[in-house]
Amino acid sequence: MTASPEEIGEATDREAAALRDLIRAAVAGDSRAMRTLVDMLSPVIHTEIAFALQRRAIPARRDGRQDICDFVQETFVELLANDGRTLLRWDEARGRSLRSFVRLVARRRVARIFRGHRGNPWSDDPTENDRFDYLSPPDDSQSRRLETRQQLDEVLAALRSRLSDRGMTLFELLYVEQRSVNEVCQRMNMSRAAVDTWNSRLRKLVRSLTPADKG
Amino acid sequence: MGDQDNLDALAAHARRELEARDLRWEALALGDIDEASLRDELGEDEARERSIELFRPLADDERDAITQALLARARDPREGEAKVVPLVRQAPRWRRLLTAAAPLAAAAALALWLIPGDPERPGREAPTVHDALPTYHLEVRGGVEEQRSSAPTAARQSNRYSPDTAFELVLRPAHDVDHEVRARVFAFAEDGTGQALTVPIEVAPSGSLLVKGRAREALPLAPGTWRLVFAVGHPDALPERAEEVRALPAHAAAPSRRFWVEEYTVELLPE
Repeated sequence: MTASPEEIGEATDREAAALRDLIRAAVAGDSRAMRTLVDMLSPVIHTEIAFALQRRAIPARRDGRQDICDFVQETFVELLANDGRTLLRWDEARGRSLRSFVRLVARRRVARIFRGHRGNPWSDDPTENDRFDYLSPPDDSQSRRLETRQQLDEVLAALRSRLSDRGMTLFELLYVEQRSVNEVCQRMNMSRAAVDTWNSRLRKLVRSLTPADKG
Repeated sequence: MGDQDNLDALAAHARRELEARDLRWEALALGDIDEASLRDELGEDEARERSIELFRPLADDERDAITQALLARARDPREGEAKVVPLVRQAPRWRRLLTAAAPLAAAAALALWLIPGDPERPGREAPTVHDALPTYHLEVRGGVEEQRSSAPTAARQSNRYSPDTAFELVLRPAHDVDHEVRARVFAFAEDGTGQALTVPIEVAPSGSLLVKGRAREALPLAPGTWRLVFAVGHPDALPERAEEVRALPAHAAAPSRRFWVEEYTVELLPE
């Protein structure tokens, strides 16, 4: 057993500044900086992806190893897109270690991969590939209770794939970790009204993802 | 049932998902324990070996490949403002209708597609993990059985179709592909005879492939049970004869690593 990486990775301001320099150097094409970044973050990303694959690959008796590097790279591409914008958005002051933040991004990336979304990190807009997406239920106001594990799996993956980095963080803090709204407002530097508005949008999103009752 | 209840149920599910994780696997991926210790702890088990494969720490050459791929993307001048090249090729928004038996496209740079480059040798193509053949997953919809159920069906291994039953099958890559892909379909009868099948296949820019239509058009075969084998990959890499895929294991890359193999068994009913 080992300490969860959620507990480590705390950085001082100086270390955080050094990390930002490292990210900028990596996206500028510095090979040593890129390798350092890969060495630093790939174990965390790998872990998240491997857990997701473990649930799918083993029951299906599939060899998931060959997917690991692909998915790790995909997550890095998302983190480093647009001059590292996503990775640079990490803010220690918001109470998430870098590794924890990267974990959330990897979790969301994995959800998108398994739902077959286009891997376009710059847009959440639906594309023609939605034609191929059978798991998207119709947007129906008459939702039903999510009961089975399969339903919960599917809707949770859909939800993660649709949320932004900020949305993922809010969902984790408010719902998964069950932190108080006040604490979340403080951590995320958001007003109560802004959190309420986001919450309302989240509920609508969940409704749209929940399969409607038939007859 | 309120949306809030469903939201709470999803959060509880996410918590259970995290709590169910065996942290020993995480320790393996992070290099905190070694494989031998874990094997001793877990005992003999096939699932154990598959998990070890998944959680074994990335080797130096794997990290090198990822690093070089990311650097190649960072340096690619074609992507304008985005220094890191997105996985999605800036493909034209077209969708092509083609048949599996259509003439193969002109030869492409297959060597560059498959063979990793050498970062120590300037001028050679840097290795890109994504240029390799991705894993494909098969999803199906339609069939006599599904008409009695509203639930979407994923990767059902067998299904029955009358001639007018809707048939939809998607082959979806694990990640978007940035090169041309095609599929060939082969059908094997119960007596083992095989044939190349001409079916309409749509290709999305992401590399997903769709076969859709009434069973009579999508699967132009006689009534009976058929094992359909799908070979997906670069146009130049695809097999042409049923014999080439007959014995290949499904849900896996071909031994050549040049195309992916999926299969799906159908029972076609008479009129």
